Amino acid sequence: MLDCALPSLGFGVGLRRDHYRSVLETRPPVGWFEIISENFMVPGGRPVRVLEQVRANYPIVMHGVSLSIGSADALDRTYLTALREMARRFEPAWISDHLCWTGVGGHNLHDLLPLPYTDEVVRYVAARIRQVQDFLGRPLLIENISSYLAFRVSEMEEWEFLRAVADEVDCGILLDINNVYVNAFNHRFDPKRYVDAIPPERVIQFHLAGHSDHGTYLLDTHDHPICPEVWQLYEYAVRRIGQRATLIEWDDNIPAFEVLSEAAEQARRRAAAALDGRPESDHGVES
Amino acid sequence: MELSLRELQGLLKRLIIAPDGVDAALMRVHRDGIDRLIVGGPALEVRQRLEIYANGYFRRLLDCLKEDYPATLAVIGEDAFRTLVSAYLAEHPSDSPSVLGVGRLLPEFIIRHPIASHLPFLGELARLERTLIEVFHAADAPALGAMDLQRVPAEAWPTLRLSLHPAAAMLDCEWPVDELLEPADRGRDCAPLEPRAVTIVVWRQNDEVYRRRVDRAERTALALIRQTATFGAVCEAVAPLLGASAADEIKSMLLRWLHAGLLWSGNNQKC
Ligand SMILES: [Fe+2]
Repeated sequence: MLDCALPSLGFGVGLRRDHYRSVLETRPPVGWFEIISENFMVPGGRPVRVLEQVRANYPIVMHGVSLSIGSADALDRTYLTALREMARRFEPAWISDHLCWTGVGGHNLHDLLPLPYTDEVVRYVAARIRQVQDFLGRPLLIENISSYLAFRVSEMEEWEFLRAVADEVDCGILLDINNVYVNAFNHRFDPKRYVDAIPPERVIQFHLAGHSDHGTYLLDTHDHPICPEVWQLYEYAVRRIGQRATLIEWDDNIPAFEVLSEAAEQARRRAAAALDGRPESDHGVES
Repeated sequence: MELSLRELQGLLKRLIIAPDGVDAALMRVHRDGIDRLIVGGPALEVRQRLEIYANGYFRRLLDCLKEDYPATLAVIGEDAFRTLVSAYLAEHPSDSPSVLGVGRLLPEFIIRHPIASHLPFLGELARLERTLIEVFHAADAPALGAMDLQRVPAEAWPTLRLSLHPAAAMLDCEWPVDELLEPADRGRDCAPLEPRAVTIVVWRQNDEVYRRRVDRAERTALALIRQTATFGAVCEAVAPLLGASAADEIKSMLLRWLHAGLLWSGNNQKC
């Protein structure tokens, strides 16, 4: 339903404070920017003005981290109202958040926590996504998270859960390739199995990011270059699902803007090569 | 053991945010219960999995507060700041959708914390740092310009009500804590900071945040403006503090405010 209604944005990067000046001054040739919605939920000042100027020249997507769609708490109306106001002001191509919970009992853990993968939770979360979409009057994309624990009560695999929620709501998916890779390592499954299970028509956007290797587990830190294995999985996903809006996420140890835009360029080259049926590219990490 | 979603999330939250760590928190819940809820192994035990979240939670919020309160951090050092933040988060777990709101109550927390007994200025320093952040993010509004005031007829001046810009704040401090804001000043021993009342005005202009101290007359004037007193009442209150040159002084004060964009053009009742 959604893929024909939403525009294809090409290759973009996350808008981060470190790059405000260079983005405004050089107007770099990236396709679009993704913002962390919560960082702009302030009354005024420089970030809001920077966003206005960026929006005048680029499409943006509003990516949230605090919707807490899977929380047992009621949806936060104040937060949703702020989100709706922002969307009216900045007209994002779409809004996304994570299939997770971030807090309960009125407290925010500022982290993305996994849910039990059960039919009951599928129905619970799906009903809430519908409420959010109705409230916002816009489609919401749901993103798969990295996780470090799983619940015994789960009745299905993570990819089955993601698919079931998206099917139940009839909403789009933001497929984070790095999160699939991280979870495949942390929970010992084949990441291609995950990608294979996601209906291509549901996927509106890809995320690419770096993680850190702690030996016994991978941590989704967004502070490293994208590793060769994640690039390979991205190429696999593009072949399997098709080319989709692709975004480079980098949130810590943020390098010069050129490193991010080069990663977006690399995504473009790799997606094109994957679709051409050329052999998977050299897998060397450029940058 | 079947828990409701609320019970499950509540339990995980308690384990993750426990100030004394996951191990201690696990002692307070039924250990077997946890193993029946969360899948352990092969590489990581349940406790280690919970610790990934607990460490991430604390590190993320600690980093955020370090960024918000760099001078407070520099004065007390990494270890004490860490301990302070741990106690703060135990009492004030975040209820804000954005990390920008996490440190909102730290200044008041410091004022009530035992650390204030040997660093009595620390709460005021944190309050000043918080004010800088709030002014940075305060609402946009047009500043009052000289042209606006030129249009005010002479007879309307006594009843004119000026307004402070929403991105302006005034802090009364018992310690000259603004001296500790510059990185170069923080390295010094803090002991020489002697109590001395200062009033600091913080404001934003062209998206940059500025601050300066104001004297007693200017403080009196700005405090009255904040209370929406008339210009006549402001002059009456500050004139005795300024002596013979009061009229000139008030005029240059007003020009200074206009130049800095300290006044708001939106709410000035012209008569
Ligand atoms: Fe992501």
